[in-house]
Amino acid sequence: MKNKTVTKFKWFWAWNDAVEEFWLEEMSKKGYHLSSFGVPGFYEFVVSNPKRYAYRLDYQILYKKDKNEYFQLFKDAGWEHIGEMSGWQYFRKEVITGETPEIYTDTESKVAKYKRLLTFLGILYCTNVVLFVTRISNDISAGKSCLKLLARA
Amino acid sequence: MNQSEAKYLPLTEATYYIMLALAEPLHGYGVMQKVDRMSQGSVKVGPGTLYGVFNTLEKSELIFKVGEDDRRKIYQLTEKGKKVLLLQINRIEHMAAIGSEVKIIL
Repeated sequence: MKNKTVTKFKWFWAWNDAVEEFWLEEMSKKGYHLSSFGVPGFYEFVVSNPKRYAYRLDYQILYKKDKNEYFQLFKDAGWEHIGEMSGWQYFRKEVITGETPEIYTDTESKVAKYKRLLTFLGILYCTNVVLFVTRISNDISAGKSCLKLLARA
Repeated sequence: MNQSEAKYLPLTEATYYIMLALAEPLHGYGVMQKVDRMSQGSVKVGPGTLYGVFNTLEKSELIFKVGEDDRRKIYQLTEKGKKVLLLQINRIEHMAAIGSEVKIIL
């Protein structure tokens, strides 16, 4: 029997990963378990029995050579990898003892995760500034040549 | 004290336990279990934290890859790593000794 699936749209900003984790946990409590992603913002859920899962998002851009080691560590620690969405790795683990499992267990490593994200957002921002400036200077030179043509006419 | 090794101090609690565990060759999951045992359950090392510490320690040449078991990399302390760990242990011993002195008057 094939499980019923449901697609939902919800938008989260990159720095709202904790809110996204909470939302996914609430969905699982209602019996909607994340199964895959489509276009950013679209989540696919498998409908089944309610479960208490801890969802955790890691920001990690992995080289191919590092993938095995990375995923094996999570698997050995009991985390299920659900998928990847633009640099974000989605994991979940069932909450059994009432103790919430964590993938980052100290402040230093948590800070390092957000530093990686910040670096990426920084690069994105700089690229945009460069594109914007190029665009403006093109527009200015186009405007100047227009004026020259008008002056001749 | 050697300047080049002292710059890694102090180690975080997680890094300290991970390096203690790597006195013998061990893969990631082995490290997680050993740290849990050694710290009597007081220090948990999640996979995200461990992956980061492995990367940092390997880049600083404090640990190295001795082999691979299936998909798991096996690490161990380098000579430099042993020196850094010894410095940290000395530091902690001093902290504990001075603490015991003060403890009496508290």
